[in-house]
Amino acid sequence: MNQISRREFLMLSGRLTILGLGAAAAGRLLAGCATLDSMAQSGITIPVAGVNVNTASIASSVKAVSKTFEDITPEQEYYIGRTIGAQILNKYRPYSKKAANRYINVMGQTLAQASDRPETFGGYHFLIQDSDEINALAAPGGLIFITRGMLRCCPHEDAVAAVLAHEIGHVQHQHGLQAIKKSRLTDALTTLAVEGTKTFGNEQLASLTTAFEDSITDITSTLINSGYSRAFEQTADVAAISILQRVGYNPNGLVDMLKQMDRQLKPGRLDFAKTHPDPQTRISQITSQIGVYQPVNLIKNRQSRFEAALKGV
Amino acid sequence: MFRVSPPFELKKLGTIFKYKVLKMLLNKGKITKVMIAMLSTWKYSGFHVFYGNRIAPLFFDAQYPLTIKNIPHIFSSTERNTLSIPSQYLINKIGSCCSKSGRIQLSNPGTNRRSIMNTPNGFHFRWRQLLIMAVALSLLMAQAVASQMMSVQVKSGQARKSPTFLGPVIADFAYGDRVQILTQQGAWYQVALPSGKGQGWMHMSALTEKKIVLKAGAKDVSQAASSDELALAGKGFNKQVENQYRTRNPNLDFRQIDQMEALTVSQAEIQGFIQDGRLTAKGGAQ
Repeated sequence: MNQISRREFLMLSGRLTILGLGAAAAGRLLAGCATLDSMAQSGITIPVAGVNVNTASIASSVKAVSKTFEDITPEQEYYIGRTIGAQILNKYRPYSKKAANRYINVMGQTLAQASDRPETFGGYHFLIQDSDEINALAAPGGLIFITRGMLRCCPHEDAVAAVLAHEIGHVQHQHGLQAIKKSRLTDALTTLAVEGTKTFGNEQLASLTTAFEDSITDITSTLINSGYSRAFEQTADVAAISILQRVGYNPNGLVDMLKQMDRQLKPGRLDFAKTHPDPQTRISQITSQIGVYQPVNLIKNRQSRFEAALKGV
Repeated sequence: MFRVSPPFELKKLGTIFKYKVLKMLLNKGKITKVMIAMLSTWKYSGFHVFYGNRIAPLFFDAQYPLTIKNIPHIFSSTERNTLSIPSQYLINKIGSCCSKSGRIQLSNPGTNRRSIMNTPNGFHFRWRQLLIMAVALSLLMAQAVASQMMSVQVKSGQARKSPTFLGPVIADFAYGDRVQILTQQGAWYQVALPSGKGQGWMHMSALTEKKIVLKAGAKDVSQAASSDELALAGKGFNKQVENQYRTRNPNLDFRQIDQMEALTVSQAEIQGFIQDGRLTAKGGAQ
């Protein structure tokens, strides 16, 4: 009867397990290897078996679990969002009026705090863009853009709040990240991460940047060109209504904005008309949720600050 | 080549283990009677000693997580991870308990006589070691319930005095900090503040069950690739990748994005906005 030493046994069983043959080959033998971070946390001292397995072999044979958009960490979402934001700003330049931007930011923060996802890695930030096109866009992680054209569709603060809340809804549900093709994610989030243990080498950095570029293209082509699915738009409207109600805005502000937009949208233009469902369709979906349209009561303070801040927009 | 022993008649092994090990640990002052009571009554921490003749991967991968997935709110993902690791650890340890003497030693509490079982393959298991591990395993599980830890997943996290953004900030946390969860109220978790400075409230969106590894080594990287329990800070799409992207796309103006992020709004300003506009926002306390 051949006998093997304890060390040989451990090495062999460890390797077999790594190769994924553990179950079949180990048979009745209890064999395996594990890292024991958890033991260290437990405060119980237990001698750890001296299993000496080459970590490189783990890295190369490890079976990466398939990744979805949910595996994108908020930190990575933040970097994706910054780049999407830069792309959006490449389309429309920022509107420089400080008072207007501050007003939008204070309102936006108030709304974001009432959302189901008030905290993102870098927080929510809002910016008015200098364009007559009617558009509002949200980059992953909370960078939200609204054009002057869109603001002109808003007869009161409740309507502006509705637009911002709709965009916060997209951020909350991570619609942007969901536009990234699934095949890219497993690559970008695991394989490349495994390779780049410390700082990325030139080669890894290049391929990771390419994966990043592709992900950005996936998002921008959806966000700016084709638009989200109707289901996503409806989800964002539902989120917007709940945010508006929590903050104390009249959700009919969204209806007012859509009505105004319907009058101003010109079919065939490269803005909201192209990337969003028809306003009438959205209005009927919204009213089915909040009931028959009731005009927004204008509150004096609210209306005067709205007019003051967005004067000349 | 190696073989293992035939299946033993070990139906009562669980009870024997429990009795002997707890007695031993109690004598040594390692545990208290309260802990024994806890261990014996806790539904999910029984002494699951495997005495079948075949170990399928499913046995170790699925047994605890399946049970635990039904009560996910009690466990953080790290702790769910902890629960599956000791079983692997146990396997490993059993391997290391093997010696060349070809015997399995088993203490019998009934007769207080050490029974020796011969195995044909030349290994023996020192049950006492196994028992210590079994207890350790259970203690770990008990601890998992007692303290749920989560990680701060935002750049700068704040704990507030009350479960609303309108409450004053009483502590700051950095990305990756671990916090102990005390209670939950709606979307807010009450967390223990560092160095025993009381409690504060954090919104759940600022926290993750994943453990965030700030300086990941090779082991963390391979673990993160194969599990969902670990997040690596600064990996994947990061500042370095952004910089590389910027070199490739010089037409993009990231300074505008930096300016956009630099605009911050104070909580006082938000409160003024709410009051002035006759709004009813409760700062996320729904």
